[in-house]
Amino acid sequence: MTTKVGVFLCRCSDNIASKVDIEKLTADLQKEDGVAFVASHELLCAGHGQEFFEQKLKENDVSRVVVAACSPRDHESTFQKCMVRAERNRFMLQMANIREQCTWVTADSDDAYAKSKALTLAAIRRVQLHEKLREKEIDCNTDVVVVGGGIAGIEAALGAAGDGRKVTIVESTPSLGGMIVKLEEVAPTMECAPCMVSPRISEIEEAENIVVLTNCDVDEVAGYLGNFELKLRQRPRMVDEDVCLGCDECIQVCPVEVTSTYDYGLSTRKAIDVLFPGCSPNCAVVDLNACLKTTGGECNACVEACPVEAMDFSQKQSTSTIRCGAMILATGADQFDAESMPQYGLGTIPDVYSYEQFARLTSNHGPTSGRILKKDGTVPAKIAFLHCVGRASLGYCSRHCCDAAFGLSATALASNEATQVVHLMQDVNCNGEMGSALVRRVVAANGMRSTRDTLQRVDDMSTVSVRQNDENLILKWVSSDTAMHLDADMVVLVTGTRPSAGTVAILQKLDLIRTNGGFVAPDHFMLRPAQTSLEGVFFAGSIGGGNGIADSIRGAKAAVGGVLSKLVPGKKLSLKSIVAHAESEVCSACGLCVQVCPYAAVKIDPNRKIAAVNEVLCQGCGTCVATCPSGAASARHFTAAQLDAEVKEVLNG
Amino acid sequence: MGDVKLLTFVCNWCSYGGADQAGGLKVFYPAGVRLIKVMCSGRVDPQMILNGFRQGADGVLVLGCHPGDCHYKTGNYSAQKRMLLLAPMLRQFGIEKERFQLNWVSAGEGERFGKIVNEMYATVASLGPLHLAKQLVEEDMA
Amino acid sequence: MSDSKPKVAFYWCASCGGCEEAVVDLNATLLHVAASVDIVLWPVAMDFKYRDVEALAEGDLTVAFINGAIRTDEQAHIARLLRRKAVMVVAFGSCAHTGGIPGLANLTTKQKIFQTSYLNSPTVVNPEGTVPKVTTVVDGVKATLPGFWEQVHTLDQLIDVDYYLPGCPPMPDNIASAMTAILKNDLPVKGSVLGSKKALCDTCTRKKPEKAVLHKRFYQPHEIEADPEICFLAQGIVCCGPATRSGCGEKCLNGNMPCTGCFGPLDNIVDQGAAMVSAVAAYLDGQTVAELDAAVASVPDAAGTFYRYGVPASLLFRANTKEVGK
Repeated sequence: MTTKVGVFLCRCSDNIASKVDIEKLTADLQKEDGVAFVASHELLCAGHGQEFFEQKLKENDVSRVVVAACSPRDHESTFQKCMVRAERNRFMLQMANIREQCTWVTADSDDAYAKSKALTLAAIRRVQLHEKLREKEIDCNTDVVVVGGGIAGIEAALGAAGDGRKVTIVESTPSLGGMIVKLEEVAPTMECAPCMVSPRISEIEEAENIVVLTNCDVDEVAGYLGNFELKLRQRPRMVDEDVCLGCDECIQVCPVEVTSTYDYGLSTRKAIDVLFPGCSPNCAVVDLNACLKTTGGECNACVEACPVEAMDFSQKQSTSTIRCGAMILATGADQFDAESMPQYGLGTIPDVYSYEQFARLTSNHGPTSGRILKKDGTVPAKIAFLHCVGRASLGYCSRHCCDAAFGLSATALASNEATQVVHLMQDVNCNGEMGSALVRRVVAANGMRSTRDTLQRVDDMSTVSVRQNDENLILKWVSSDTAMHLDADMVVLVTGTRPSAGTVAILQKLDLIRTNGGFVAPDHFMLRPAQTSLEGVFFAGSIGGGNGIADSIRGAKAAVGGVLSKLVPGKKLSLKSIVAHAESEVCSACGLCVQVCPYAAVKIDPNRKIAAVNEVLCQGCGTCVATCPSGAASARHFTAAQLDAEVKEVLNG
Repeated sequence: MGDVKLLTFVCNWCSYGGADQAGGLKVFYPAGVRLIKVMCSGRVDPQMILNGFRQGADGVLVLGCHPGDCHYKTGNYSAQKRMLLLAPMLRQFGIEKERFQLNWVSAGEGERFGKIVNEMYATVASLGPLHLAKQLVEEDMA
Repeated sequence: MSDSKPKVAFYWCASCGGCEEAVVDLNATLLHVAASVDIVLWPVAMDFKYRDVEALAEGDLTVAFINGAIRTDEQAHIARLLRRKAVMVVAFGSCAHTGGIPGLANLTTKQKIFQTSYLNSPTVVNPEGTVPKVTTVVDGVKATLPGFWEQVHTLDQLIDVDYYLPGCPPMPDNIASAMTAILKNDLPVKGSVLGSKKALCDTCTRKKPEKAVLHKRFYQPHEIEADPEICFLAQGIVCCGPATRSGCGEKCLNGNMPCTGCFGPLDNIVDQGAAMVSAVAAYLDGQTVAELDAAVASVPDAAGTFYRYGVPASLLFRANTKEVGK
């Protein structure tokens, strides 16, 4: 009784009826088992057609409906809405596509008739096996965790907080800021980086709904979209953040000097220090590996010097758990290690600098307070920028480094009239109006005879070598089988980017899909560029490969948009109805479903020794179902029985 | 051309769209081409293919999104692995390799859809109907 | 003979005798069984004649255990006879259940089998080229042999089967519990396979690596020394465990050999070989079709491996050779 089917045939004006005799089909189908009624209409999708559909359902006690008409891509949702209005379950509908798949593509009308009948009957046999699927919803947490406090993380946090979301930033270093705070003027527009970022950091400090955890790492992540749980580990800074004024009394008296990794070895710092002026939190931090007190020695200098009693050596590493609905990863990138290519002389020749080191030289807060001088204290007459360092071994162009190099070049030219620059490069990758203008600006400011004197093409950058001469540096390379050389006073190695340690760690913890270069891979390169392979986890900035500032911020805003539209406060998370399901009495926990699931939506429950599908993560592709060799997995709305019934009938006629 | 049936599994996102576009473009193909929609080519269980042959298909075609374009990221790769393993087994069962194919059609490739089904239909038609032995003992009792 | 005791028959069709051995392996339990039932037919162990069975009234036989696949007129005749007389028929063992090892013959033809067995084997001397015939006249006397069929069938393709006892052979425990269930009339729905509802992985104790290990090639058991602690598939050795019913006591696994699938498919699976294709495919590694094809090529004889005990029960049933095509 309950498997009786109501059948609607749409003439689709004449699109269907001109090829298929609808009256004959009506009569033929009425003879079939399980058919309650067959009704035809001129144009079922039109308003009067929909009324006709609903009226028929009111008159007939059927729960299952077949519509033989156009493609379900056109009107399945139309008729599903009709079903709901007629108080039927929308999944008790099946469409037979007799227009796109039949009348529009079949030459002979007898053939078209037979095929239309077969397709409609297949839909009838299928819908008889349909189940009423429920529309499920679950509660979700709408808080956001941002991992990484560089410019991308800062902008992501402010974006989400602007909507009123509770945001936690987890930053591994002692301060917010990331790469951008180490720079001075940034390409391509040559704006002052600290001027751009410090007001944003102030906004974070003032925001009531943003919590910043510095010196902090993510240890473990469990859960899924709407319900993540993160275990965090915070390293002690031995200074009370709420008390410290950020003055330098402790630094003055600290007896231990260490090489500054913040300045890439170009300066020294004390075992207690503030990371940079205006860092956030504006608080000193103890280097646990260098401090006498934390390495078993005797010293109390900072404690005694502190005017506000902020020193607290009783601090221990602490762990905590936080919950959130979504994450935005912004753990950034590092530069390629140019010391691994000794031909360039980094670390062995004094006036050879990495890109990051040179950026620090240009910074007013840097080791030379922004003066660009040779090691002997003189002004460099010529600075050579070697592009594409490491590109061959990285295997990709890092995209943003040409912009960055010309930015540094412009800064160098502006800082000293006597300085000229030369760029050795395979190709110039400064794109768009801004990038092109920057290159023109450098060429013009350089004042050389021709553009080619500023921009020298090298066939293969890996053939370039740098040697120390008596007074200056000599660069040698081969171009078009000709040995070339050039003198310079300073060399800057423009390196490509690679994933930072923080990026590597978080991607491993979350088991996200990575690119060949080890950066996070977007869920879809074009369609979902800010989303990772795990639903509810977004990313921004150089974690996805080298990015300029504008791209990082654009990515952050895209990620925020993704989060805000996925999780809405006060609204439940609606789940897909068409998902997979594992029958616990049959599942033997062979784990093949786990292996093939593109969404990590299936896990083996180790206690019950069965597979469990997470209906939040499951997207309903059915790959696990086709894989399951026990027949324990089934796909709602695409069960084996439904598909087999359809196959059997569709091959008739 | 003989009258044969080409059972064609199409994924919801790409190849079903390709078939719809073929319809819109009025790319004609034989009425013996019969489509079954699944959400992803990854849903196509080898049992469904064997069942297709058992139920009277003379050829089975599985269409999915192009590699790298799968709506479900890797579902089509899972399908590909299964189909590549299934193909030699079908040959052991005496089913000519031309009767079973896996191919890719995007939602914008109506012409390509038409070309693939027309070509495969012609090939299967030239082989003629597939006569699988029935599982009935009567065939042996004679 | 006491009429009050339930009557039981054992019969063998195309089988190796291992199923008979399994009954004998019941040991002491067999004595209890023998005491509580009347065995009316058991050709391998006791001297009864077909006419003894023919003399029984329909329904007189409580249960007939039939092992072996069906390939000859005689097997079909006796199986049908037992079906008429018995209230319940149990397909006993892989061959009756899914076709078993004899079922592999469906991948070739009767003609080729005869050529190999009676003509071409190096050890055969047969200058006249004699092959079995149904009727032969020798010295004016007509002699007949049961007709040898073109194809091998499962028992349920010939007659209605009530229950299945899987395995090559079924395990004594399973046989004993099935006997007890039958005698107590404590049985699941008709058509059930008497055994676990889960695959062998459920009872297998080998460890699976946390991260899936994919394979650019698979190994035959003799090509690699298998770690006795680790899942075979994770080691690149084809194991039918995920697609095969549990209940065998993991005898092969404990001998460090992979499952070959004798307990047959799970209830929701129609085709064990197809299920195995899915299982093994999930382990294939390769970026290109060429790489994947190379990995596929390392699984020689997929049909024989994935359907070792189940060609006649498969959806395709037999190889579609020209000689067979009607």
